[in-house]
Amino acid sequence: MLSILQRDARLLDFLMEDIAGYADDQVGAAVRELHDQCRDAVARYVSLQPVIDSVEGAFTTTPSTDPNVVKFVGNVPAQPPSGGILRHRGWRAAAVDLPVPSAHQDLTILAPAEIEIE
Amino acid sequence: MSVAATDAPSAARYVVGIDLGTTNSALAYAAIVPEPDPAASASVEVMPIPQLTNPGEVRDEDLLPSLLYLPGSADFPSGTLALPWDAERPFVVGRLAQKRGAENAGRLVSSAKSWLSHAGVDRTAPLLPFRAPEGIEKVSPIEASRRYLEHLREAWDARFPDAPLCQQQVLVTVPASFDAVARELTLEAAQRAGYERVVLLEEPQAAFYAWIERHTDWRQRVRLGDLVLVVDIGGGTTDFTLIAVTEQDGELGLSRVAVGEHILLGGDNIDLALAGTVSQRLAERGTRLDSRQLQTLWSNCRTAKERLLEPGSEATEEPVTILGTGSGLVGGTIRATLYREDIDRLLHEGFLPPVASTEMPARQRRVGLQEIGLPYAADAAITRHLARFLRQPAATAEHGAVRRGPSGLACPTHVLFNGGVLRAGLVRERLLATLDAWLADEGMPPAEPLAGEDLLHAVARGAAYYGLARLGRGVRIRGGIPRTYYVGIESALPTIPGLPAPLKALTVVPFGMEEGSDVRIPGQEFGLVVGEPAEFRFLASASRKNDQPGDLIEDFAGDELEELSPMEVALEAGEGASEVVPVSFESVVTETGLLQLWCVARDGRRWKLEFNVRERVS
Repeated sequence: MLSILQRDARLLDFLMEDIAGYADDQVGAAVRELHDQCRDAVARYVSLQPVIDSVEGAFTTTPSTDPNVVKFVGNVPAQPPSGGILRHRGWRAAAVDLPVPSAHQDLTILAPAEIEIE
Repeated sequence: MSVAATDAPSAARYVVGIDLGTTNSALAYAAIVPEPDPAASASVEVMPIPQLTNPGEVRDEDLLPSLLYLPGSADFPSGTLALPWDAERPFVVGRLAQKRGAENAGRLVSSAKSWLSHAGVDRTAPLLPFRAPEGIEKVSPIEASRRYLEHLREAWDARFPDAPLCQQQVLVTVPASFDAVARELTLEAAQRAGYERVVLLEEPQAAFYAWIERHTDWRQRVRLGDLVLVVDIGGGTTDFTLIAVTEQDGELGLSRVAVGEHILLGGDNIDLALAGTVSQRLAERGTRLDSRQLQTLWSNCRTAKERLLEPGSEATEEPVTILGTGSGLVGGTIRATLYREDIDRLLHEGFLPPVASTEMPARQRRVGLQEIGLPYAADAAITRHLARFLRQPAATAEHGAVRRGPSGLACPTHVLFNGGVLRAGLVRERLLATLDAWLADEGMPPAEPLAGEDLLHAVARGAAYYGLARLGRGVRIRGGIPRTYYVGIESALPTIPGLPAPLKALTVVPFGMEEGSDVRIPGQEFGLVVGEPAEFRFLASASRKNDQPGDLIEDFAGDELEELSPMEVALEAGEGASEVVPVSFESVVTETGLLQLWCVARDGRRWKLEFNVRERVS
């Protein structure tokens, strides 16, 4: 996934670059472009859904008490409660469709170096 | 011309239309239903084409870029070019070829179709990629086409394993400008790719059929004698064709009356020119771009252009960002803006200038020695190419019926747009405005645009639809009633004992009258018996094709007209008393093949007689 995000959206280049010295609008311009491409790349390989499809800030009954699915925060009673205020809807990867790497691919290479011949 | 079987093989379960394009190919299909509901419209679907989109990654896309990449040993890690049906494919077709080809153009075969139609070279000789460095094994234009067709066949067979493509009825489209050799080569490429039953269809016709598929009311919008200009502007090519709506054996048909040259000028030129405008503006600010950045600029300009030209878009500018090269992404980011004015100006001054219809495109300067290559258009003004096209003489003498203005300009009544570039409303409007100005100069009314949808797949869809239509399934395009119908009129003669009054036949439905149309029968009035049961007699003829509505046939040979079983009806009289009312006739043939003969009295009263003309056809 990291390799794909680098290939399609150059995410690693962005994260690993020291951006402290650049003006906000310079960073903003780059991020806008990068944001579009990252989102496209993620959407292509993963279909994302909220875990609880409801309005954040509203009272919600919990669909499960499985700590994988729901995390209770705040004044949590001894027994898991049946609901509370939804603070974050969560993310679930409903389907993941990543290419299967071939046996000959070097998986430690996230992005190959590029050499241009003039 | 070795067109294979004209009828579908008995094993065929689908009709398949393939648009083998210069820059993109597409495949559409429709199931052959054994006993279709004649009123239902055909359901044509576009097949997603699995293809490599990245090394080691196969995805479905609606289009297959008509690009072939010939990889060297250092291009892709081994095993990453596997297709679901071939683990060891030594070349790449489609999206990945496009991506990798942008980085290394020397191994990319593009525009094979333009080469296939280029009479100046040996089209079966391995000459592509044209600028390949030494040591790369080249392929011929026909071999490149074969590989695209083969990919489509394999994709089909993987999707429909129990209905292999070689058993289906396949229609492959070619530009109308293709010469006989190019057509023959296209067929040969298909045969070498494992196709067995292939019929060629011309692209503008396919585009027109696609329009018909989408518009069930087409009969109300296009009539006999109309002249349709098909404008097809794709990525790298522009084609003009004139199609006349004609009548053959009483059926409405389409015949191509004029074909323009295959002009190597298209949307890519527009995008490149926009990129040029932006990069010039950057250069004025002191920013220079390298070739890689120019490539990015080109594709980003295309995206920005599409956003600006989207229907309903009010934006006057769109940012174009080029990220820094190397690992320094933010630091090297270059920002520029594409303005709507840029596009306006470029179209106005460059590609679609509002010229006079007498302005011809600039001719290429002929230098004694020329580099062999594709004959790119020397003049970028599409409107000037159109002017020349409309002034050229018709393709064949038999179609002398091209509508022309006083100055000899062919004057289309309708314009059908096709090709990705024409998805932009601005481009269509400009083209139409120029054309309408020419038509006004000739004293002709403006041409009516035939709005198409899904311009990227129209040709493939139209081909599949046409395939269905020629099997007699789906809505028949050339549909007309294959009979002339008459109503029997009793002669007003002194009664002779023992002899029935002779019957005259009044033509009410002319031969080839289309389903879904109506006709008013001119001429004299006849007496209609109402208020008591009366017998109505109808006659039909398959051989008398020239009788016009209102013609009264008195002497006819017995076998020429066939009498249908008579109908006994008591038509309601207004006052209850039986009478004989003078009436005139109107006939209507419905979409479902029902003939309605309306008897209209002078005072506006109407009576209807109806029967099914489809069942009567033996």
